[in-house]
Amino acid sequence: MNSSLIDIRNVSKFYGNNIAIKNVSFTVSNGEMIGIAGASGSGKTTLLNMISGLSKPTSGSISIAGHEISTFKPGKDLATLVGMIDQQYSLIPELNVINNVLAGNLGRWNVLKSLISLIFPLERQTVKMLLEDLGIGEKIDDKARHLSGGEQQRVSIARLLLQNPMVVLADEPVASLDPNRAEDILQLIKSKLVTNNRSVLITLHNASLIQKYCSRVIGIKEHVIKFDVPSSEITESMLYELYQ
Amino acid sequence: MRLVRDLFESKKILTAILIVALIWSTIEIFSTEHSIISFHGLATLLTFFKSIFELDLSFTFLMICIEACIRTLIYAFAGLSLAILMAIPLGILASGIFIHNKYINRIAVICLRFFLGVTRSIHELVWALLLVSVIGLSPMVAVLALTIPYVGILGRIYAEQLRDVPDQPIKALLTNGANYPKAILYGRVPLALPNITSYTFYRLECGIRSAAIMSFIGIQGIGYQIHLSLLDIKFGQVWTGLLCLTLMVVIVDLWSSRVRKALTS
Repeated sequence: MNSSLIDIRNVSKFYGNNIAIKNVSFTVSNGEMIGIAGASGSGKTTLLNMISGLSKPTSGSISIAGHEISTFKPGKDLATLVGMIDQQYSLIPELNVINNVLAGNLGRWNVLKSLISLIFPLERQTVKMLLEDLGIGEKIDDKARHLSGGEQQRVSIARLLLQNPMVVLADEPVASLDPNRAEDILQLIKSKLVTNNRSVLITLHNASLIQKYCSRVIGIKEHVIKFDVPSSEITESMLYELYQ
Repeated sequence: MRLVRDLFESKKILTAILIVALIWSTIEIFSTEHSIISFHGLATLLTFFKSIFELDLSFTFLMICIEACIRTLIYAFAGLSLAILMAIPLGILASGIFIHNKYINRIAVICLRFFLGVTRSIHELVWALLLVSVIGLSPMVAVLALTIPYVGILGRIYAEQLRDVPDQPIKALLTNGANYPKAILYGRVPLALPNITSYTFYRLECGIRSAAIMSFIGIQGIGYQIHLSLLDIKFGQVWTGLLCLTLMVVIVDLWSSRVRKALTS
């Protein structure tokens, strides 16, 4: 299936007089894992925040599966379209793992059901299976803050699998992990989150990881797209240029 | 004029003047003619401290003290419980995290902060005096006199704690499909709960002490017993009463640290 899942057209974002992203356009098909590369402050996170619907573009349009994202408020409809995982701060450290995973259901549950589940967690079996699949089944009742960085990211992945959005945005998901853990998590993101009906947009600092795990790379420098190529076509000089 | 200014600008002269003033005022305090401090009570004070070894531990008086303690505890618990029930919704609204219309939110925050400010700026004893004149000398006075200022105090703390949680987990919850009320339930409340609980327990301690001093306006309780014994110059009984009050606060403190430990482990 090659229909365009995300369609970004002429998107710009200004904070007062400061440019965060300027005239960005690209499309994403189903089943892609796309790396977004660029130095700090180049506008990667701003771009992801706009695709997530949390921040509105100053001009241009972003649509996911034909729905204009800026017209959505946080809630059920937005959650079926897009979900997010970031550096390590997505979880609520004071809640146990099961409730952190069940937060993926908040779009489907009403406030009362959410409250009941916070006290007597529902769907324990489903969560248990998800966690076992990710290799941390025994951590189901631990508090999130007692988990290691890698384990926390696995919980975030389980939450996204429960939420089941069409697009997953990963903002530096392995930035605080050691190289081995980072590869484990990227492998899980690629194998579990990228499906025929879902794509992943990921920002990474490490160029070799981008080449290894992503099918396509979008390079952003000084708030504009410098290149948008299959990762096999990436050269050292292109990346060098990007981070200069 | 310049000479005078130069004189006063010289630090040494100013220091000398201040030292002279200090010595003079100290002499005046202790001079017999217009003495500010009186040593006549010294004997009474000594008797008071000596009677720490003459605690009244008779069964009758202990039963009176226990009953009075329970009464004080009930006032503190009832007052604080009502205050918590009201402070939760008021704190959430005053924190500015619930209403997402910018203008309505700003108006709600200003109005509620003003309301919370007024209730807490008046001491519970003053509220008690006002309430006695309205509803008479009833236990409700003690409960409401605690509730009103504590709503203001707790409401403000709850608002600040709920507002000042890290943004990132809340942002993640919003992308998981939570709307703002659910993000408060799953994000802000669990993140703020350890601090909120700890502060509420501290307020329970304060509430017990405040309920005890309601005796000054005739409300019964352990403070009232201490007050009566003091009037009868039965210092042994006063010490027993003070010991009971201290014991109550210590027990609440131990309970609070156990709860905090459970929350943060």
